[in-house]
Amino acid sequence: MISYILTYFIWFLVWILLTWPPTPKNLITGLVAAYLVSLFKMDIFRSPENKSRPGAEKNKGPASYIKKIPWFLYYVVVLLYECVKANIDVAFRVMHPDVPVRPGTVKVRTGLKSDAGLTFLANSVTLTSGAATVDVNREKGCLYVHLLYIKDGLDASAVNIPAINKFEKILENIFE
Amino acid sequence: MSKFKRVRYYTGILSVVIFVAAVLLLPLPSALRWQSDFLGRSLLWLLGVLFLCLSRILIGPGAANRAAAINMLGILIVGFCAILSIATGRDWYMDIGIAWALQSFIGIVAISKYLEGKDFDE
Amino acid sequence: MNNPLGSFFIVLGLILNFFGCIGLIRFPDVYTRLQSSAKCVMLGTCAILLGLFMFKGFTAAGIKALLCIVFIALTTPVSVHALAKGAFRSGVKPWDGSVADEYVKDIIKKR
Repeated sequence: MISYILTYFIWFLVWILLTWPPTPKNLITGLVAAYLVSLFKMDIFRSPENKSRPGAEKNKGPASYIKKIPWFLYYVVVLLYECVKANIDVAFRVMHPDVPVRPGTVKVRTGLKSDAGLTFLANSVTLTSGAATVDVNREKGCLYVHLLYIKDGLDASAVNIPAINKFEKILENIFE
Repeated sequence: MSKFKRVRYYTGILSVVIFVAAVLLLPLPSALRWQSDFLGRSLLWLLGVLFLCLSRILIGPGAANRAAAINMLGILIVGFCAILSIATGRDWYMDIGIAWALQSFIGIVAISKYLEGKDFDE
Repeated sequence: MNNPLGSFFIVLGLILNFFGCIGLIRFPDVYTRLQSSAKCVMLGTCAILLGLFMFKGFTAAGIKALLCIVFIALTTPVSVHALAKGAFRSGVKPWDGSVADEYVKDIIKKR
């Protein structure tokens, strides 16, 4: 039920933002349209795999959602900082006379299990620090990551990258 | 670094400098003369970046390179729409931008699904 | 221009877009090109849209620019790793100078 109400309000908010000056005509149309869309997309905030997992029940209730908001803001700040750092790195590599890249795909172990957590981890890895996620192997619990510059003597089957570990620690607090 | 590469690198730097100077110093055509020169010149700059992207679409070997360049083209055009929206003061350019971003995302996902369907053979 | 903060963001975005497309031309193979272009062009276009928001404030175009920032930041990484996975599966070989390719090893092992 709480998932249904949350979905309804999010679609309603998106409708208001899309048709910005909120006149009464727009608002009434938005109420009807958000109801119709949320009839189809009711279960966007719960996936069937997460329900059967042990430990998923204790995250219920509005108090847990409120507790996650400061973690999410911290995540956005860290993401912006890492993104700017990665952009400076790429600009340096592009303008260097002989392009200093040693690319390759490596495996990175991860402890995250939930759908949303893995998606956010993969997206934030793609946006930061010379790395792009190629694929996820869920049984082994590892990401295949394409790195822009691999240092000498790095074990390719289990790599430790500090930026990825930081994101993992934050996302564990949000989604697990 | 071999001699050929060095010559190519300096040619590239020279062409970048010529491009920047042309964007900053050339007199604007009358179609791009809005209330200030800044927006017209930034539009010219974005046009040059779009041509870089188009050259990768022309020369890129194979379908994957071209799909990557088309992905970037779709995102650049959103920025193009944003600058046009500031310059002309019309709000519906951002509608075009949002719709363009959505369509390009769906198209790229479809193209990558098509690429994935082929077999991996050594 | 009469809005220095918005102009600053637009200039930043233009420079980042330029670096991204230079990377699209200079890097050696598909995967590195995808990386450079995704990072730089994503942040550059977001900066241009933020500049539009600074110019217009809370009008229809400004709000739509904010929505577009969220949309682009969510969808660009998804399309990039869809393309990278598709290129690996369709048999585009990595560059000769690449150091490790665990993913190709695992795909061949599976078949």
